[in-house]
Order: sequence, then C-alpha cells, then structure tokens
Amino acid sequence: MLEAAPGGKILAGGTDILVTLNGNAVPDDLTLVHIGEIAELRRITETETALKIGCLVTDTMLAGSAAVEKYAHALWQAARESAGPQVRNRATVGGNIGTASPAADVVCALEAMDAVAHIVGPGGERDARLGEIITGPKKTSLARGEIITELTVPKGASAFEKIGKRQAMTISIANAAAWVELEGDTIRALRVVIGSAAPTHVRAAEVEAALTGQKVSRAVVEEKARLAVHSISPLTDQRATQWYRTEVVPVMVARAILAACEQGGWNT
Amino acid sequence: MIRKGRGIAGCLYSLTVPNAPNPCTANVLMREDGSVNIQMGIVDIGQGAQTAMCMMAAEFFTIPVEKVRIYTADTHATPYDFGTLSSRLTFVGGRALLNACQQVMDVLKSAAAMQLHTLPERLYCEGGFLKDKYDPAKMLPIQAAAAISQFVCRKMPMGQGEYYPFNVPADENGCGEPSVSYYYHASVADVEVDDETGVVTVKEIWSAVDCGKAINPSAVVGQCDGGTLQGIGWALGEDMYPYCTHNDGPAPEFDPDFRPRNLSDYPLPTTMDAPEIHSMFVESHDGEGPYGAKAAGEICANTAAPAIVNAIHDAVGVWITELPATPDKVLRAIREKQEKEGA
Repeated sequence: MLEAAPGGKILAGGTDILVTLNGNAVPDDLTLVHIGEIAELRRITETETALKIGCLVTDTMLAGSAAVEKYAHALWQAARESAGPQVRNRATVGGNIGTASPAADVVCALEAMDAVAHIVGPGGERDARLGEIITGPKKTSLARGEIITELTVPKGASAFEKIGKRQAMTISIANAAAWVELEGDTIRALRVVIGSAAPTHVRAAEVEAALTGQKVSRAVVEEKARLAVHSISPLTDQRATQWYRTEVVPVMVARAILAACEQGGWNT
Repeated sequence: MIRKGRGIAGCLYSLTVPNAPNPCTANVLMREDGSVNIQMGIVDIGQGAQTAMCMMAAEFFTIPVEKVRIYTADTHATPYDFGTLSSRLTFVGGRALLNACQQVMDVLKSAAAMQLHTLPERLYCEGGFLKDKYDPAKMLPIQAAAAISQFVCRKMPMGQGEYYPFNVPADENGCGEPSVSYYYHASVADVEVDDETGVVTVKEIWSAVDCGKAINPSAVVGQCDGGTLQGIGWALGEDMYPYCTHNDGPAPEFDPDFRPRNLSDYPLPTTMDAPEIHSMFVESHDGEGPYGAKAAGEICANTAAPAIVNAIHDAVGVWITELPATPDKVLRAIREKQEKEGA
C-alpha cells in the first residue's frame, strides 16, 4: 500500500501526524496507512536477557508494565513523564522513533538502553540501532515502505531525567538517560544519551570514556559529567536559552548516571 | 540541591471602578406564584455573579433560591450595567438588586396590609410569609401578596433598582477616593528551588480573602483556588516575550520568533503543577455592601506570584524582578550571586 502511494505515511497513534495535518492544507497525494489495530504489534514480552516491545505499545502500557519498571527503568520513567495521559494513551513507541523529534523522552531512554529496532520492508527484514535510524530532526533513514515492528531492549540498570517548562504535558527543555553496568562499585560500561540539546539525541562519549573503569562517587560523576557540554550543540528556542541548556545538561547527566548506578545496586 | 523557602504577600483592591461612574441597574418582578424574576445587564464569566444575585434575592424574600430566575447580559432585554471588572458585581450589582427588591417588597406589603387589615409598616418577611410584628395571627404567604397586589390592587410587584457607587476622582497629586470600599487578600507560599537547575516547585500555598460577608462560601473558596492556580502560572510559566528582557536589561538572546504561537509554548499550570492549596475567607461586615458583602474576584490571583517570588528569595537569596520566574532566569540569578560571592 505504501509503495503504491507516493505520499503515503504510516499512522499508528496519530499524536504527531494528525496534529500536523490539523489546520494545515492536506497534500493531494496523502495516504495514511493505519496499522494501529494490529494486535501482534501491541505487546511487551520478556526473554532472559531482554524485553521485546512491539511498535504499537503505548506510553501508558510502558508506564504500567512491571517488567519495564524493573528491567528498563529509564524507559519506564520516560514513558511516565512524557506528554499527558491522553497523549500517552495514544502515542506508540514506533511512532516516537519515526517522528524523530530530538526532544523525545522515550527515544532518549531507548538509545541509552541500546535498543535494537527490527525493521520490516519490501527489501526484507533488518535490524538497526536508533542512532542509525534517526538522522536529523524529523528525518530518518527508513526507506519507503519500511516499518519498525519491534524493539529489543537489553535488560539493565538505567535512569532518565527531564526538565520541562512545567510538571506535565510539556516538551523537554533537555533530557538525559544513562545505562550502566557495574562491577561492585566500579563502572564497567556506561552509555549516556542527551536529548533536546542537538539536532538528534547525542551520546556523551567523553563522559562515558572518563567514567568507565572509575569507582562510583557523587563527586567524580558530577565532575566528569561536565564533559557532556562537548557533545551537545544546543539552540535557543521557545522553551529555553542555549545558555540554560548548556548549564543544566551536565547536572541532568550526573543525576541520571547516579540514579542508574543506584538501580544497579550502588549505595550512596 | 533542593532548597526550601517560604514567602508571604498581601494586597488591597478596589471593588468599584476607580475614577469612573460605574452604575448598575436591576429589574425585579415577583410573579403570582411567588417566584422571582431578575433582569440585569451583568455578565457572569464564571465567577458566580448570577448565583450570588439569586441567593441575595432569595435571602431578601425569604424564599428558596430555586424560586429565583435571573436573565442577564442581553442588551435587548436587560437594563444597563457598566461591566464585569474591578471586582464590582457582587457589591454594585447586589446593591442595585436589593434596591429593586425593596420596591417589590413595598408593593407586597401594602397589598398584604390591605388583606390582613393592618399597616404595611407592621409587616416583616419570614419563611416566605409576610407577618404582623404585633399580631402573630396575621400572616400571608408571599405569593398570595403577589397575586393580590397584581389582581386586586392592580399594582405590579416589580421594581427598578440602581446603584451608583460613590468615588472622588484623583486630583493632580493623585489623591482621591477611588473606591467606596476595599477588600484584602494574602498568600503564603512554600517552594522548593533546585539550585542546580533553577526549577521552582510550589509545594503548598495558603490563600485567604477578606470578602466581607461571604454570600456563597463555596464559590469564594473556588475563587481562591482558581485565582491561586492562575497566580502560579503567572509566577512560573506564562510568558509572551521569553528572553525579551532580563533583570539587568535586554538579554542578548531575544528573538521575536520565540514568541509562543500556541498553548504548548505558553505553559499554564496543569494538575501536576498544582500544589496543595489551602483556600479560606476571613469574613468582615462592610457597611455599604449588600448584606455586608464586598467581593471575591481578581484579588485572588494577585498575591500568589509575589509570595512565590519572596519564597524564592527565602530559599536561594536571589530577587526575581521580572515574571515569570523560569528555570532559566532563576538559575542565571543564582549563578550571578555565586560569582559575586565567590569572587
């Protein structure tokens, strides 16, 4: 269907596409292919090492899942804090990736968890990481007709942080997610992802390198988190100034890392 | 680090329009079944003015409020009012209404006096009856008085009331008497300020209004609740010109493109932003107001913001002199203070 229609788009929850169409001229070649009723794509399953999350799983389902809360804490937090109840009831994980907003909360958590997307298309099936799929604001590398069907999220210790203009129903001024693998009190591996501070979500590579192999302590994490400013290129927009984003990103990165360490069994 | 602070603010407010003639008029009619019909030009925009008028008329005629109907805000059918502003409707509208009610009562009393073979001056109204002060045997249902005056005395039980609030326009020194009376409000706000992100969270807030006599107590509390939440939005979020200016003058980042184009960029508080609000009223008796009432209007939104700004100062020692106190502005002020102290 998508191949036959040059202007075709996939419609899942509709929290982005329908808002964009609302009040704007509808393109002549617009075709919406609604996949929202496919039950097989709307479930969360658990394997020994990972969670499998269907592309139509909503934020509300993520926020209500005990398995997600336990094994993908950052994702659970992000789903709880994104938008408001009405939008969370509709918004899907797959759509959140396809929309490719640099401010997306759920995508931030998924990238930190190193989620792998399973993609089905006319050319066959493939797997890709979210960093490869999302190439810019509202831009993805998905080919025409390709659909993200499922995400594989490795189980791990993680945490998510967000600052918005208010407590709910707000787009992030900046967000950050961290995943950590601990050996005792030492960080064996670390992934930190920052959102709303660059054209796409970005990895804080310098922070990751500086903290890997280190013993966890608040002072060390807070000091090394300052390196996060080298990874971001924030703008001033309606939500906050460039100055503010540069100031708070290291704070949020440090808090996310420390919270992830606590998830992983580290005790202050 | 989370730092806690408490702030307080209070204010007074006029309850008639300063420096302008602002009369209100009311037509009141009692039908032969004892129900009351009010026509007023007032506009109820949700503050509960219509209900307050009905309650005052019911109180006046000692009848259930269900028997009072009000028609408002139709220039074709309702008499003049100056407008919904300056917290004036309960006060000015109430006085106009009671003046009209008094005229109706005079008609009813003369009809009842005729029927009961007594004098109008001896009659008083209680429980929906007109009763003789000195002869308990003499009493008449108020609807009977309405029917008798209409069909026997051929005098309609209707009145046209007006009220013209007194004020003295300001002289060249700004001195005058802007309002007949004043009402008061105070807020106490407990906030938490995150000194690393500048995020301010209002944890708890107390809101008290001196409304004179509370005509509709639950509506007064509702006005305090709503006004406080509005005040929180004003204090922390709502901004048409983000980054337009800063405490120390224009900020370098100003760009007209950053004006909010829809409500997602103009953050009104959500339920998640609402702290525990303790709303209350402190009654007083105003000699000029209807039944001693004053007002419970705009003032309820006035003191939350200054109380919050004072609480921010109590928490982190910085003054935010331009609203809203966004995380951006608060953090900037904290950093400036740290630099000054560190240097």
